[in-house]
Amino acid sequence: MRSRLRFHPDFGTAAIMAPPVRYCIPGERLCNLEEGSPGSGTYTRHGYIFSSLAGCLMKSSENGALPVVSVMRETESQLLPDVGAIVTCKVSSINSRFAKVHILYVGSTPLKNSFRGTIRKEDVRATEKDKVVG
Amino acid sequence: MPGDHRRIRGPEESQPPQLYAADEEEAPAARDPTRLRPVYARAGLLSQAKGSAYLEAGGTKVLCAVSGPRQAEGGGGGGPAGAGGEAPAALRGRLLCDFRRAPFAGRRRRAPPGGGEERELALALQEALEPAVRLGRYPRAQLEVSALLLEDGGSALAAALTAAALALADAGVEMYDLVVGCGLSLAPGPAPTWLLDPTRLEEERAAAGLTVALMPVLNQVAGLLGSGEGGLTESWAEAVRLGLEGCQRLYPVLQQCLVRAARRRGAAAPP
Repeated sequence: MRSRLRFHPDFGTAAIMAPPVRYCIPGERLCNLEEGSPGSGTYTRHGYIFSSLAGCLMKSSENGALPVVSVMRETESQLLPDVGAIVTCKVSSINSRFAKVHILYVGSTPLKNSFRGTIRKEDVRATEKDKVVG
Repeated sequence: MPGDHRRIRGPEESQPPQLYAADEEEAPAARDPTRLRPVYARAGLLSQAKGSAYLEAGGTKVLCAVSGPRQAEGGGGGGPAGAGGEAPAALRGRLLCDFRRAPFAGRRRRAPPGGGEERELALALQEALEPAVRLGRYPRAQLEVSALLLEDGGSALAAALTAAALALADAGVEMYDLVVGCGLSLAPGPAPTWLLDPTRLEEERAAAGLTVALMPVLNQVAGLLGSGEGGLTESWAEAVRLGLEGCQRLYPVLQQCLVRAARRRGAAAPP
């Protein structure tokens, strides 16, 4: 559809606005599992997809596969360090057995509240574990 | 003593002042036992907190703020790595609830450390909110919910529950469903009836009180706190049913409130 200029009472003459955003709240039933597959910010129960966040509903139309239904919030959801995540830490204290660190970044996003972690002496390198000096 | 000019003598007779005080509290007027007071709810009003909500129902005003998730204290991090195979319960997030009554909330000024009542209500808040929040998505983190009661006009715990759920949803915490709270009280008298959403006056004269918390879409009861002499078990069951109906009726208002807040957030921060 080509965008045409149109007069809108509130916005004056402008291009056609994007389709209205649909907002949903936690616990709102979005659709059937046959009509979409659950994305981020949703959960499934009894064959239906429910929203888990208060935000905008996004349906990504894929070619072939089912559209992915997800709920997005404007601000980036707070990431938490989880298994398999690549984190950037700052060492706060060193001991002969381990080093305590503050986790500052998860991936490339900075954390608002830093989490604490430990790096044991044995986990520093794969070989010659007993030769690591604290 | 005649001619005593050094002392100021008071009157010969004195009466207690209550005699002259106007009779301020009449018995509460008869009303429809299933009426809900009009509710004003607004989410996302505090800029410093991650999520916030304000709820007004009749005279009850509650403000709730949510912050986190941050590192869980007590066994969260620090010491040397423990043995492998941690129980899944340790990995779940935690919800720390705090219920505070402002000193000006009731008729008489109450100093902030309110004693056991605030702790009990905070525990009730936590028990009711936990089934609704997806704590498994926040491993080793804690979410802090603090509710401040600005004015107690009856069914304060129910209002705090609803405000806390709205604040959690506003903060972007993943939840299975909202939690809606509703208060009830048993009016004493020859024919005791359960009143939905009691005012402070009705609560003071009640023989028993009950607060129900419901997750409307999942239709599951999240919390139940009651006390007093209600009589038969059927009477309590009737009260719970009444409370659940009241929660369902309140749900559309909260839905609109959250959608409006999301729209406001969307307008304020264009993508």
